[in-house]
Amino acid sequence: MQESTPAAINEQKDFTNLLAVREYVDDLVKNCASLYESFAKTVKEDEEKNEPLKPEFREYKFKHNYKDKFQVIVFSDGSSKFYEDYANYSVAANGGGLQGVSSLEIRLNLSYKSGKEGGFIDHDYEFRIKFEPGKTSFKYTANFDDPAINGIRDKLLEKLEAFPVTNTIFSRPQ
Amino acid sequence: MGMAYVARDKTISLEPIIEYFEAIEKFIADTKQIEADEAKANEQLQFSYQKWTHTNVFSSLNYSLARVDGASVDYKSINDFKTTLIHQPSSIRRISANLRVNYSTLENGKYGERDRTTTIYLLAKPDGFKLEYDIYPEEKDFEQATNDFVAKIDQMPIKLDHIAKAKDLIIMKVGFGMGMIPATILTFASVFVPPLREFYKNYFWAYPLINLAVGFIFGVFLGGIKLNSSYSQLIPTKYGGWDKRTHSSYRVDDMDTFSEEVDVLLGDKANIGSTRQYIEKTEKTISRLIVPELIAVAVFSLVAFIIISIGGN
Repeated sequence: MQESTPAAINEQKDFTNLLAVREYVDDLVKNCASLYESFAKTVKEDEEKNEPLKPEFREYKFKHNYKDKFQVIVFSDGSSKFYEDYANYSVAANGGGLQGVSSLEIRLNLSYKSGKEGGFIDHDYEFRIKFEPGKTSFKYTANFDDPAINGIRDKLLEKLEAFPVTNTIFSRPQ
Repeated sequence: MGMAYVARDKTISLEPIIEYFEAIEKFIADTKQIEADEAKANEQLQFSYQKWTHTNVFSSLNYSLARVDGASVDYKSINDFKTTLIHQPSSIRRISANLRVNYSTLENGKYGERDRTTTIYLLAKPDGFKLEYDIYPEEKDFEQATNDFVAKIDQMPIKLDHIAKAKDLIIMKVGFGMGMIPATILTFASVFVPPLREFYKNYFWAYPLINLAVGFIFGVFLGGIKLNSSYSQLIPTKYGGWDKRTHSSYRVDDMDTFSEEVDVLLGDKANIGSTRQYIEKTEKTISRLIVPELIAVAVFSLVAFIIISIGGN
């Protein structure tokens, strides 16, 4: 397993010609939810592995740091709705909850702590994908360059690149 | 549940006792080793996650040796007095061993039964052997070692064997066999020593019988003294009554006490084994001589008779 190295990553991409087709957005949300579930499971397993140990013998690879989250925020008419799992999002989306929205943002925060008790190191990784009329943005911030997280980043970008695009005179090459 | 084993009618050597002491010490060492291994396994775990089958192990083992000179010495390990036990058993009049091992279990932050206790009390003295044991049921190996030890003691040679039961016959047989040696010599001499042959000529019908009788009395007397001395180490005596002729009491063999007690090869009974071997060996050796001796007496008597009959003197 490759080690992560400290870094200050602030990556932003715009997809102005991307069409936020419902099925593709659903699929992206579903993927992000799944990634978050896997991440949460990994953190939980490592915490469970360390839980029986005396504090001085604990050594975490992944420890919950309370910043991690998965959210789908739907903005419409000055209000916003938050969905924290795919099931709730899906129910809302299938019930017409995505009609007439002003924007939709997916937030995937995979932050954790690592190290020994009393000397934890914060690993902060956050992805934000925001769909607005005529503009889709992808933002990735991190304080570590982590090959595993880079893989997730690549996967999300791949998903976004798979969205249908418009072919207008305003389209910009990506 | 405690058990007690009291040996009866056995001749008990010290080897199995020494082996059992070593088994006791192995049991303690094994118990402590389990605790040490578990300590290692639990070292990094929080109390509520620790799992112990042996924790808070307490062990106490004490050997006490009483010497024939009255001194009493305590030991903690068989190695400290094994040499004395093997090479100077006659200097010891009593051995006792006291063992107590107990420990607890721990799981989910709670101690289990606190009475996982094993106790052993062993007492060996020249005329008695007792083992009291209360072994915690899960101590299978030590329980097996104890059962094997009891079985071994139980299979020791019985005291009331042929040597003890046939005391009078053996003494008589050995005495007769020994007496036949001078009887044979006397008869042999009667062939080649003229004065004796002359005497034989006059009493030829009685002479072989006289030889036999003299030899027998002589042999029984000497053999009796020798074997009675050996038997006095084996069989205890008790008051037998009052002899009106000698105006003194006399003693008889106490066979009841003899078969009730054991002989542990310690103190004044340390050499019981070799005494038995001596009696057994003497009986066998002398028994083998009796027939050839009788034949020799008969042959020499016949030769003497023939010499006399043909007129030799």
